[in-house]
Amino acid sequence: MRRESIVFLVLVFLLTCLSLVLIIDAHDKNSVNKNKNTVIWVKKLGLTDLALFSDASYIRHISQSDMFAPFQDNPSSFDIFPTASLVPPTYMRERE
Amino acid sequence: MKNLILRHLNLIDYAIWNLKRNKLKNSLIFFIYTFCIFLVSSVLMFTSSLNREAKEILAHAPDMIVQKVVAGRHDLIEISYLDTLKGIRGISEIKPRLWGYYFEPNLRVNFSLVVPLNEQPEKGSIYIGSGVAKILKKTENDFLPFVKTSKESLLLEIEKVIEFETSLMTNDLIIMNEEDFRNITGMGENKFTDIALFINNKNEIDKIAEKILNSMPNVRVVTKSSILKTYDSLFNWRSSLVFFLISMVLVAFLIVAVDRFISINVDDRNEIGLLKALGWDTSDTIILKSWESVVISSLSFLIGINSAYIHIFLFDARIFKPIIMGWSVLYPHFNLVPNINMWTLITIFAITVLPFILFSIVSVWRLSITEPDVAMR
Repeated sequence: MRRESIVFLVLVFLLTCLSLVLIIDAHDKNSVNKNKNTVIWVKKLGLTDLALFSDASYIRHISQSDMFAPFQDNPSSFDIFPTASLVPPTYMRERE
Repeated sequence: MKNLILRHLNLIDYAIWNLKRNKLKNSLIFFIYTFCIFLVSSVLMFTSSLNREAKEILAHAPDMIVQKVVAGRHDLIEISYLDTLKGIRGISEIKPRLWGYYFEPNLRVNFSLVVPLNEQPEKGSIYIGSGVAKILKKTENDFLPFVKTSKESLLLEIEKVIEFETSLMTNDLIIMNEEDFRNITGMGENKFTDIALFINNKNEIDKIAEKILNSMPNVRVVTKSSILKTYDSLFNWRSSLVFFLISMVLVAFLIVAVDRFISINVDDRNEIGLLKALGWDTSDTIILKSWESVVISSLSFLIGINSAYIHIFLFDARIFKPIIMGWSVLYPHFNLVPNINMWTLITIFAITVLPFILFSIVSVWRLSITEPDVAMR
């Protein structure tokens, strides 16, 4: 009769241990070292944007896109590019 | 104390046995619930790690970018602007930037052409990002053909493929000499895309931006803080990327939680009535039902967050790739460094586990306060 509760508690204990191990592992990893080379290129080229989205120019360089551009040219506009809908429009970013 | 533990162990046994009676329904709830927690945690882990890396990397971006604006659109900036900028005190370095896009018609892909601020490659040589190398199937010492605006072609030799680990920033870049850049793009002498400024005293940035705007009315100034703000708002909780992904999850979760709340069926009603008739207190029945919820939600929570970690950091967020990729032909391959803080986990716990347990307790409490014969009738 007692078996299932023990199995449950052991399972919860093991999963909690796994989570803790992953969290400790995450704290040990240092992204500053990993990004050392990237920073060298950023300084050398004067880069301002991540190469995350490359389907449209104003998405490729989000921080450099026009402030006053008509809606066809602005993130979150009625747009054919799917990623444009993921980026908040300029006026919202400026307001924050 | 021992009796209390034994009592709760018995209640857990009974709760698990009870859950097993409705195997199909409860396993369905368990899977949907686990999947919801998995998605919410994946989104939060993914965006917080990306946000941290973006902040760390972009902290080294130029302090200010000056763009010329004509009729509300970004325009090429003339060399004469440099002289005006030189007259403004507080600017330690002025570097005109040359960058633009190059469309490769065969592959239908856009590359970013960039000329370094210092140490340019030799004329005729280029460095390319790992994404460019991969899509064009080129390596070092290969030649890359470009079509100039005059329709003539130009062959440039690949001197270097930029390290794969830096692809978050350099994936689609083709880095070249100023002369080659002007040759390909047809950009006239004495013109630049924009101007990067470096400022020693960071407290003066806003003041200098104001001075620039006053002395040159047709320019736009993008400061580093606004660049960082842009990325922060992209990866922020309240913003589109996260909201877009999380809203789907929340709808699914709401369905599960509401189902738990309203679906006290005849069996549950009879069971609670019977237990009360056998002498169980209202508090006992509530504890029993709470244990049922705790069994489901604690296992779902733990499995959900552990699998989210594995998905994001060991499998490179495969599920989110198509969403972020959109129609991009080039997508950077990056291994994120985990960034988990306790607040992220507490937030996930608070928005998923607590409401679920609360919904269950409230629904059982409503039944428990009725008389046994009424409940069983």
